[in-house]
This record gives sequence, structure tokens and C-alpha cells, in this order.
Amino acid sequence: MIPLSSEDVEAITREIELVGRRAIKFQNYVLRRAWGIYYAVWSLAIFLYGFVPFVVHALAPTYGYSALFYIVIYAVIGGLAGWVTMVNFSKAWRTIRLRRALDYPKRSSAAPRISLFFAIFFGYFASFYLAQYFFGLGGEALTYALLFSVSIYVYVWLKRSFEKAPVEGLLACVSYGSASIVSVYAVIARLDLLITISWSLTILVWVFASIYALYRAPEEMVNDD
Amino acid sequence: MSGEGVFEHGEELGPLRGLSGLFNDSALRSSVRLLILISLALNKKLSFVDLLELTGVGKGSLSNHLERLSSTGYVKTRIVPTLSGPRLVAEITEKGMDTYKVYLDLVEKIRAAKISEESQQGVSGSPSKTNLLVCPLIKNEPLYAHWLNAF
Repeated sequence: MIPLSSEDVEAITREIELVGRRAIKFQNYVLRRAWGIYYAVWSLAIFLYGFVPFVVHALAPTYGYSALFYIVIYAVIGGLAGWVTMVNFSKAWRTIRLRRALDYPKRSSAAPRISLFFAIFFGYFASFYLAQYFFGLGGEALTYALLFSVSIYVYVWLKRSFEKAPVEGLLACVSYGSASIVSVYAVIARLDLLITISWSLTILVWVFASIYALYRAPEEMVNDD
Repeated sequence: MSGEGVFEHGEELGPLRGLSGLFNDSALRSSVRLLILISLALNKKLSFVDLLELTGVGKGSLSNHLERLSSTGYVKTRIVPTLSGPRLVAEITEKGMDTYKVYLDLVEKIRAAKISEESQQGVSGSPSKTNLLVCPLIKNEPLYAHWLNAF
């Protein structure tokens, strides 16, 4: 048996912690890149949600009025975007767990659950059409108001992912939240064009956020400690 | 000296057992391999290029580390086709995830013990003796003798 001095033991425990901190540092890069992909996927999803009917009417008028066709299309878009979201948030959650283990061992947070996520996700879209069907404009305004909570949710996960939320993430949250509030007003005031403009701007901001995040991600590796 | 009184919250030997679990396997007695394991556990899979960025070692060295981890069942590697040509991707296995959980548990306990000690030190004003958290127990535990060579 080799007797270990207290310095040896401290060196080992310090090394164990340092390896963890190095992994966290790398996660900043991985997560920023993952968020960049997240913005890209959702900007495409928002675009498709908003503009698929116009495209379909223009290219394939026979499918233009089929509810089943739209349900399938929206489910596929939502499913793919939701899957990317789940992968992203799961990575963020595992990183948070390690970061907290290194710094705040008593704190914990619930893991994102895929079943709950998809239940809320598809529940929302179902309620979107049901609310419009049963409550007309009031229902539509309410569902847009509910979308504001998405920007809060995204912001919370952004804050959890990074010690300081990146600027492109804040822009993405602000644009999404603003678009949802503007949409509430536009529905009540019956200004459909305003909805189109606000969400088009959001798509552009999210595309920019995606490019910016992917471009800036490698910088997270600089100034390594 | 026994372990009594070293861990104040009924966790005697807890962190040490975690260390035992981690370093019993020589494949993990390397900071680089441990780092690869942790990052793969966080991301589930990473490309060879990502792992080069992560570790900062050369391609040959990384291949050797991956081979070691792969042969001991912590990770598995496969070639995937991409637009820019075939790429090597490393994925964590169930065994790797289990080992990561041991690591995570260990880090939490070490940190909790340090915080506990620091708070006691703040009350008593005694000099820092972080080593006392684990050292007396390790000295009585032959299993940990090989650690010195691990890093």
C-alpha cells in the first residue's frame, strides 16, 4: 500500500473537479451550437406553419382544402421541431446537473420529459383550432397570448444552459414574445397583415440568431482555463 | 484514525466508494479518458472532430484513448456518412452512463463535504483542512493505493 499524503488526495479530488469544469467549458460551445440549430429549425417551422397553406394553394390546389392533409403536415413539422427541442433541452439539463454538482450540490431541477413536452406541444395546436372554432376571434387571441409563455419558457432554458444568456438568444425571445403580443392585438383589431409582418420579422430574427450562434460558438472555447 | 466524524451527515465512505468504482478500471485512470466519458455522457454522442477540440490531444492519441474506452465497453464508435464525407462518431454506452452517474454522485459529495467544511471553518475559525474530508479514510484503504498513478 502506498501511503497517500493529504496533498495527494487534494490533488486527486481537484483533478476530478477540473475535468468536470473542462467538460462544462466545452458544453458552452456545444450548447451554443445546439441552440443555433434550434433557432434554425424553429424559424423554418414557424415559416412552414404560417406559409404552407399559401404554398399548397399555389402549387397543389386539390390538397388546399383538405384538413387531414394539414394535420399530417403540421404534425410532421411539429414532431421534427419538437424532437430537436427535446434533444437540445436534454443536453442543457444534463449540463446543468453537472454544473450544479460542481458548484451547488443541493440544488436540483426536474428533467424535461418527452411525453409531457409532446402532450403540451400537440395539446396547444389542438386547442389553437378548437378555440378558433368554438370561440372565434376571442379564442384565437387567447391562443396567441398563450404563445407568449413559449418565449418565457425558452428564456428560462437559455438562462439554464449558459451562465449568461447569449445576445442572440435574448433577441430570439424578445422577437417571439413581441410577435405573440402583437398578434393578440392584431386579431382583436382584425389586422391580419400585422400578424404576417410580426411573425415574418420573428422568422428573420431567428434566422439571424441561428447564424450568429453558429458563427460565435467556437469563441466559447477561447480563454480556456 | 477511523472515518468517524470526517463526514458530518452520515455519509462516511460515500465519496470514497465512488472513487473506488471509478478508478478500479484502469481505462479511467486518465484525465483525457474521463473527460471524454463525461462529455459523451452529457451529449450522448460526439464526432471525432469535436473530441479533438475537447481534449486538445493529437489524432493518434485520441484514437488510442477511444480504442481503450471502446474495448472496455464505455463507448462505442461508428462511421457515419455526412455531406463532407464519412465521419467517426463516438457514443456513450449504458456502462459508460452508469460510470458517469458514479462520477456525478462523487463530485456532488466532494462539493457538499467541502461546503460543509467551509461553513464549519467559518464558525470555528480553524485553519483550512480540506484534505481531512477524505484523507484519513483513504490512508486506511489499500484499494486506492494505485490512484497516484492515475493522473
